[in-house]
Formats: sequence, structure tokens, C-alpha cells
Amino acid sequence: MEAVIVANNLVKQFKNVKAVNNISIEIKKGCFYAIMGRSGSGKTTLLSLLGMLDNPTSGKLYVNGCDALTLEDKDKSKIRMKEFGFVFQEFHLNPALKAYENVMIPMHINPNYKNKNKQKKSIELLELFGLKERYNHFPSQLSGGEQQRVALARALANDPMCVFADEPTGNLDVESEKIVFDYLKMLSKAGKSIVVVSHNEIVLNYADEVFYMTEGNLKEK
Amino acid sequence: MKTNYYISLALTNLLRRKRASIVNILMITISLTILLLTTTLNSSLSKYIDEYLYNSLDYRTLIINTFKLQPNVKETIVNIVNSDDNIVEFNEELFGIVTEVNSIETLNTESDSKSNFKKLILKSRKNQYENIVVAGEFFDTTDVNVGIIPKKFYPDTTFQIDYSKEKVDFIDGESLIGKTITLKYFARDYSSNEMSIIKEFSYSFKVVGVYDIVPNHFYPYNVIIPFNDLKEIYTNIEQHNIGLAEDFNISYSVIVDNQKNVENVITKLNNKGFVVNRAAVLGPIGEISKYILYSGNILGLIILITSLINLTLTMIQSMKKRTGEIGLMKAIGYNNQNLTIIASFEAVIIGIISFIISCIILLGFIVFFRWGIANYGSMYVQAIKVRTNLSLILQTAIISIIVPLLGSIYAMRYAIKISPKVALSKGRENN
Ligand SMILES: Nc1ncnc2c1ncn2[C@@H]1O[C@H](COP(=O)(O)OP(=O)(O)OP(=O)(O)O)[C@@H](O)[C@H]1O
Ligand SMILES: [Mg+2]
Repeated sequence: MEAVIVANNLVKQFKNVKAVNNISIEIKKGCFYAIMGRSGSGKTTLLSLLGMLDNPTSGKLYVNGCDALTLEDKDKSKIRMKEFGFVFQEFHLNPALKAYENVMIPMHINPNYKNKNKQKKSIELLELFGLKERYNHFPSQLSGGEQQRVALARALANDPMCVFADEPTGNLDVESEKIVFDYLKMLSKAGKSIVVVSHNEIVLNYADEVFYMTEGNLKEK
Repeated sequence: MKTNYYISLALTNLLRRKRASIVNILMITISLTILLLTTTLNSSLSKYIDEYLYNSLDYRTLIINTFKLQPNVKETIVNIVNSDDNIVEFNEELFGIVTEVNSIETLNTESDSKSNFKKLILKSRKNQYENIVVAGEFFDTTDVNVGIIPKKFYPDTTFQIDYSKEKVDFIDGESLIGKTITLKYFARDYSSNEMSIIKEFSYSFKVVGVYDIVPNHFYPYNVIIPFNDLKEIYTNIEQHNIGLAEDFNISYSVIVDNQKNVENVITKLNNKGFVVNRAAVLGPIGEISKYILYSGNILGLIILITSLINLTLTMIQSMKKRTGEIGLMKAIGYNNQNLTIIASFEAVIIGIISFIISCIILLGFIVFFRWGIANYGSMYVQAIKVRTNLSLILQTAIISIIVPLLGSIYAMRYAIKISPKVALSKGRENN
């Protein structure tokens, strides 16, 4: 299968902590990856390197065959906008915008979107996560789980090729959890790459490949 | 269009900090209003001063006092006058003469109002007043016993020019055209304590036209008669007066083409040893105008700087609050340019709203000033047209955009420094 992201010998050093220690990994098209491990083992740090949110201390990163670390900030932003979707522990929803407007935030900088389609697409996405009736609500009127699902819908707004999720189900009840994982699985079947960091054992039922992290080292199960 | 998005996002963000936004807008509005108001008032007053005061004949007229005993005085002055292109006229100067009103045809001066209609001042210069007639006509230099009077006529030398509306009933000068006014004047014994009257003379003239006193900066009791008539009155008085020195001054007047050249001509005449005075000087209005401009601008600028600081602090605080949100926006692909635009739109919207409000307030003030002047201003004050002009509005518009942009620079720099990584972590600072 085609590799979308290739990481070679990634190292991330924080003062005296080596959060990521010489990790090499390939993220392939249509594959669902689960990264598990103890708190502080470096999962989030690895995700931030793969997602081009942070620069490694050393190592190489290729996205779509192109050397990602030599790119300028502007081009990195472009790749993140077009190719990546992110779901974080913190939702960072804009409290002054309604749910569907939050989902639209990434669409506004995507030149491929026509104005009319933005709202329709964002409501459709919310519908997928069972928020059809709540699309018009402000974040403060939504439960934590509902907010997380809005953030998920936002991550998918630009139809990314790869979705990075850090504890995406941390705030969800079992039922919502299932909706989220089912949807991510469906996306991976449709050819997208999914990278999920989770403590939740349920993810094992969905993942094509499972990795364990310990003190900055990655081991495939 | 993306612009729409930026505008609506900026508005939403401003509404999120409603109170701070209102304070920002209020402060900028106050400073813009003060700046607009003072520059508007100053430009209105300057225009008035230029059109009505500087441009008036008396302001460009210089009086040269000489002594009869001084040799070749006239020749010396004539030489200067001929060699200077800026001097357009040269005349012997006869100062105005106070006369008592005996009668005004068709008006009963005795019973109409006892205290009024007592005195007027006769003025004349050889031929410089010609174009001031607004109704009727000017007399020929050879005419005798004719005169032009103010359109708003008030023959009482106690009349004072004031800022507030005159509390007197003017006589409509136009209604007196064709009518005759009779005056009396006296030769006196100036050596006596009470300056007793030696001889009484009479002078009457027919009103042939009226003039507007405001642009000429005259008084409602100034009547202009032919130069020869006034000269004759002078002769009559001088012949019979007692107790004045023999070497009585002769005064000459020169008129300068433009008020800008007046100072040069004064210096030139002073250098030849002549004592020179302006026929009219700019009263307190010039000072008032400057005072309004300086104090207003200083106050406006102080408040503007305060609001700049206030806006800077507000925007930084707001950016700090939104660190996570901005980190997320960066993570999902917003670049520094996008975020700079977002911050600058927030600032510019504050500026535009403040600008619009201050223009409305200015409009209100202009309407108010005009109403006040029309209802409570003297006729001199009524000549002041309170109006703003496009360049002032444009200047203020530019300030209203630039100041908020300056205020957002720090916030922008802060936003640019935020790493997309902060979206990942809950309480952890980016490094
Ligand atoms: N910005 C930073 N500065 C200093 N140390 C950091 C920084 N970010 C992460 N670390 C350290 O790197 C290590 C890995 O952190 P990371 O957040 O990747 O762990 P994690 O596996 O995601 O943990 P959790 O499951 O609790 O989210 C930790 O020891 C952490 O303290
Ligand atoms: Mg983590």
C-alpha cells in the first residue's frame, strides 16, 4: 500500500527528556493506526511531529513523498489545511460561533470550497455524528461529548487524507464512542489514513496496526 | 468572499469582549470627535478670518503719520509708493469725524428713541470704497452732499461690536435711499476744560446707496461721503478750532494688494523713518481660533494616545485568552497572514465604527453651532460659516484606521508567535 507519511529516525528532545526517541514509522493510505501507551510516554509528541505541528530535533519526515521539514511555514500550513485533520483532547471551539460555524472554520481558508456548499457540508458532517438537531447551538449549550463530536466534524471539514486524533473519545459515553470509531473506520475503508492515540481498549477492535509507546520508543504489537 | 468571513469573524470576536470593545470604541470616538470638532471649528474660523478680516480693505490699509514741518514728506512717500508693486493706492488720510445727527428724513429722531440716533462717523478715502455698495449706487468723486450708509444702519457711536446678537433695532438702510440726513458738527476750544463749542456747522447728504458693514469690518454708524466733502468739514473745523498745536499731523494711507505683503511694506516704511499703523488689526478672534486648534489638538492627541494604549492592551489580552483557539486555527492550516488579517480586521472595525459615530456627532455639533449662531450670534459672528471639509474628514478617516492598526501590532505579533502545538496540550505553554 502507498505510504502517505514516512518518518525516519524522528527524535524530539525536551531539555533532559527525550519524548520521541529515534522513531521510524510509515502511515499508509487506508490504514487505521492505534498508538497506545502510558501517560508521558510521548504519544502526543509523536503525533505533533507526524502532523507537522512541531519540528523534530532530528530525523526526516516525508509527506506525499516531499521533504516536509524543509518547507516554509506557509506551505506547512497549506498541507495541514488540505491533507490533515486534527482532533485534540481540548476542543478549542470558538464559543461565539454556532456548532456548524465552528465546523466551517477550516473551510474558509480552503479555496476549493464554494461559499454555498460550506454550510450544507458542515451540517451534513454534524448529522453524521448525531448532531443534526444541534447544529445551531453554541458550544456552551452542548455537553462535553457533543462538543468533541463538533470538533471531529471540524477535523473532517476539508476532507483530509489523514486524520490525527489524540484521545478523541476521552469525553464520550460508550455509545458516542462507538459512533466516532465507526466513522473513523469507515473513513479508513474509504482510503483515508487514521492515526489515533488512545488509552481506550476499544480502539483495538478497529485498528489495522497497533503501536505501543514506552519512554519515547515505539513498538509494534 | 473571504472578506465577508473575516468581517463576520472580527465582529463575533468583538462581541465576545463586548465591554472592552465598547470602551475601545468610546475612547477612539471621543478623540476622533475632538480632533474633528477642533479642526472643523478652526478651519471655519480661519476661512472667516481670511474672507472677512484679512480680505477687508482696512486690514490692508496702512496709516502713515507725518508732521507738517517734516520736509519733503510727501515726495519721499510717493517715491516709495511708486517703487513698490505691492502698494496699490496712496492717499491723504482723513480720519473719521464724529457728527451729531440733526434729522433723518422720514424718521422722527427725537421721539423714536431719545438715546439712539445721536451720533455717526463720517469717513472717506479718495476712491477705495467703490466696490462695497450692495444696493443703490456709489457716488462720483465730484459729487457733493451724498453718502452711502450701512445696510443695517444704527447711528449711535456707543454701539459695540460683540459676539452675541445685537439687542438694538437697526434701521433698514435701503429704505433711506434717496432720503436726506442732516448732521451738525462743531469747532471747539480745546484749551478750555469742557472743550466748549465755538461754532456750529451743518452738513447734509442724500443717501445714494448702502453697504454691508460685516465684510468691511465697519460699524453700523459709519457713513461714507465724498472725499472733498470730508475735506471741507476738516477745513471748517481746523479754521475755527482753538488750542491745538500748529504743526498738526497730516496722515497718509497706503493700501497693500494682499495681506501677505503688509508686513513687508510696514518694514520698508519703518526703515525710512515713518511711523506706520494698520487701519485695522485682527482682534481676539485670531487668538481664539488658534487656541481652539492647539488646545483641541493637544487634548485630542492625548486621548488618542491613551486609547491606542488601551486598545493595544485589550487586543493582547484578548489574544492571550484565545491562545488555544488560535493554536488550533494554526494547526488546521491558518497561516500567519490569515491571522494577521483577522487581528487587523478586528482593529479596523473598531476604527470604522468610531469614525462613523464621530462623524455623526460632528454633524450634530455643526447643526447645533449653526443654530446657535443664527439665533444668538451678532451679525459679525453670523458671517462665520461652520462647515467641515472633505480633507479633514479624510484625515480623520485615515487616523481612525491607522491608530487601531498600530494598536493591533502587538496582538498580531503575539498571534504569530503562537505555535500550532499549543492546540495539543491542555495547560502546557508552548516553547
Ligand atoms: N513542551 C514541552 N516541554 C518540556 N517537556 C515536554 C513538553 N512536551 C512534552 N514534554 C514531555 O515529554 C514527555 C512526553 O509527553 P507527551 O505529552 O507526548 O506524553 P503523552 O504520551 O501524550 O501523555 P498523556 O497520555 O498523558 O497525554 C513527557 O515527559 C512530557 O513531560
Ligand atoms: Mg497526550
